[in-house]
Amino acid sequence: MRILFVDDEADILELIEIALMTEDDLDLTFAPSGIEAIRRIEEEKFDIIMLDVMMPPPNGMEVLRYARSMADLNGSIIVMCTARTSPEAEQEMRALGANHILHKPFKPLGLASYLRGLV
Amino acid sequence: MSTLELSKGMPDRLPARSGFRFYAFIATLVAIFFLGMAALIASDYRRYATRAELQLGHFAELYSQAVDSSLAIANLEMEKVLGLLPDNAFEGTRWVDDDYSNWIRGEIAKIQQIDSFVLLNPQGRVIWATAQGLVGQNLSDREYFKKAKLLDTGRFAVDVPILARGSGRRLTPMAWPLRDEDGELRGVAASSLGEAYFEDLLNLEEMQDGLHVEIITANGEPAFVSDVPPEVAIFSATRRIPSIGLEATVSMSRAMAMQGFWQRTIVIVLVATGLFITALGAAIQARKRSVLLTESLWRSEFDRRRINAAKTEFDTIFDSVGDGIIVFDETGSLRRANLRARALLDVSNDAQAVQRIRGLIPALSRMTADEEVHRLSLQDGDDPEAEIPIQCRVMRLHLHGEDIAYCVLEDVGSQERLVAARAAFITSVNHELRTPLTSLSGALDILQARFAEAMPEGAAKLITMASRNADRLLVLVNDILTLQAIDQKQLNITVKPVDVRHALNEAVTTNSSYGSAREVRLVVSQPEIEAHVLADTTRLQQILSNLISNAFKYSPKGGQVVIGAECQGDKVRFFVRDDGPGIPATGRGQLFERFTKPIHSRKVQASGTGLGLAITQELVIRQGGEIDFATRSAEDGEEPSGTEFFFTLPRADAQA
Repeated sequence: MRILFVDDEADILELIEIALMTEDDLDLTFAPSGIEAIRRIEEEKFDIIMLDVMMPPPNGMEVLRYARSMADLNGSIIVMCTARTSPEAEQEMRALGANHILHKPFKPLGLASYLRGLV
Repeated sequence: MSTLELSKGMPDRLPARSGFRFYAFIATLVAIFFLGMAALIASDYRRYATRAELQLGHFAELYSQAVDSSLAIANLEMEKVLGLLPDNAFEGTRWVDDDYSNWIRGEIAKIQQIDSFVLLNPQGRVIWATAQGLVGQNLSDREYFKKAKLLDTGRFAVDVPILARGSGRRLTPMAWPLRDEDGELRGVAASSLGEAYFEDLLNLEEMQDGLHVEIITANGEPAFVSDVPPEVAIFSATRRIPSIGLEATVSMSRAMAMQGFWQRTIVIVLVATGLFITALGAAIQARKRSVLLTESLWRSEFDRRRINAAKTEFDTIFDSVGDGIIVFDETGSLRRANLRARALLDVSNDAQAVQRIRGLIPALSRMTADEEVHRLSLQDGDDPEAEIPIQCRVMRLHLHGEDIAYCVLEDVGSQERLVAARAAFITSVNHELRTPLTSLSGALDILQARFAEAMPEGAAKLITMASRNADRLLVLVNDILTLQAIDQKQLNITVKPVDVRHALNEAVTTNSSYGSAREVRLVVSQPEIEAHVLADTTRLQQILSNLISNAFKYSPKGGQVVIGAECQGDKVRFFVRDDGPGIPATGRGQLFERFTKPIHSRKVQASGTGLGLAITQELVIRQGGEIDFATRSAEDGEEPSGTEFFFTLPRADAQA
């Protein structure tokens, strides 16, 4: 299962990498910014994209909009990672094509079972 | 400026104008009335007296004339008789034979006025008399004889009345001289006027009852007295009877004279007094009414001033209110707008303001609820480029049977900027605090999970402690931010139909990993039928997560937490049940309060912020539901122990 993690916090990415290091079936890719995420999405195809919302531009919403505009990415599951926001914002994310919303803070150790549950 | 100050021009009470003047006037009127009545009665009395006197005078005149003329006739007749007497008649008595006597008697009888007759010779000796006993007697000493001797033929004399012997009646003697052609006295004829004569005359005059008549001779002796004299005869009239030198006096009693006067007076007094009292009563009544009227006029003037003052106050307040206020009705008879409203709508008067606002909001009759809030965007009068966001709250009021629109215009621009700034701050705190905490907590979790065995025992304990407290800090930050949002009414709750099964499944997905770490299973008990609740998806998940994490914390290892829902009429009842130690009775009351003290014993008590249930309750209430719990506490000796939290939410697809 190919998974792309997008977050501007390097610590978070590293933590996720350590936490999921033992999971052999998960093929992990990390992008530290929206630009990098878009570049990766253009190059490869991922089963799951974990997208942080609050990032320096382009932020998660913009990346999401871009990803959904690419026809060959329609099969990907996109999970928006966000601190608790308003229902309107969540509704907007779903309208833009987000499949799930993962509320921060999440437990890195619980991520593996969460990811498997999505597929 | 207070209401009382504005009504300063007037005293607080109507000046007590004394009724003294009025009642003095009334008293004067009464006095004048009684004086007038007295004058009227007095004049009436005088009129009656005058009338009585006139009547008496008239009668006396009539009577005396009657007597006079009657005597004149008698005198003429007597003269005729005397003229027929032979010359020798007075020379002796022997010539008077029976035939002659009879003739005289016959002639005398024709004269009604007299009944007796005596002939005297010049010496005063009776030579013939209707009463034989008198013949031969000398009556020369009689006053009438003496008077008659000096009189010419055709005249007669009247003497004082004498009492007739035997009958006791008064007789008024009369005497006529008899003279020959040379004027030599031949004799005197005498007769008398009896009381019957006067009485007959009186009867001829149809004397009124109650009149008293007296005929008085020159020396004051009465020749005739009619009836009994009245005890008090105050009215009288006297007339001379010239032919015989008598006086006729007619008198009547006061009672007689005043007959009818008192009845008349009493009737007049009664009627006049009645009318006067009626008029007086009407006047007093009218005065009372006028006083009342004055009072009420004064009061209404006072009220008018107070109303004016209150109106001025109201207008001042109305115009100084920071929000724009417009009040109007459908017919256009009520149109008010305050200063702020006119400024916001950029119009100069009330009518324009109402016209403008009616163009911006739906018609009053089309309002579905009694209160509606509209968002308006108005052009800024000072800066045509800028637009002012306006919140227009329209309330439909019912006044005097009519619908009235009460609109409050609020410039929400500045308020919205503040809200936006606050929201940005909360979001940034959220992010800036939580991001490092997430890393910290995650790192500690991994350290604990992967490397605990490789660490010395003390280090592992410290790592566990650090991890637990990092988690706690995270939850605390979340809770505080949530509570702040609730308190500042910043918490957005948007309800829409939510599939109950879907919501329960999502709660299981989100929360089971936390349970599996504690070796507690999370089991879902789905409702029998498909149901939807009216709820905010995010907040519903937050409620379920809070209750589930509490249940996990208190569940024994290998235990089970059951979440589920069931339909109850127009509601859906959600529940989260654990088989933990239960909540002791002592702690049940303050369970939903903020920062409650630990309610379990130290051994059982799990760490927490003390805010979770308070937040959960707020969230349930804000979505129109209720929350409660049922518990059996091991500490209180209840077995099997366990707790079930349940809350209701309105059903979206409720069957009627």
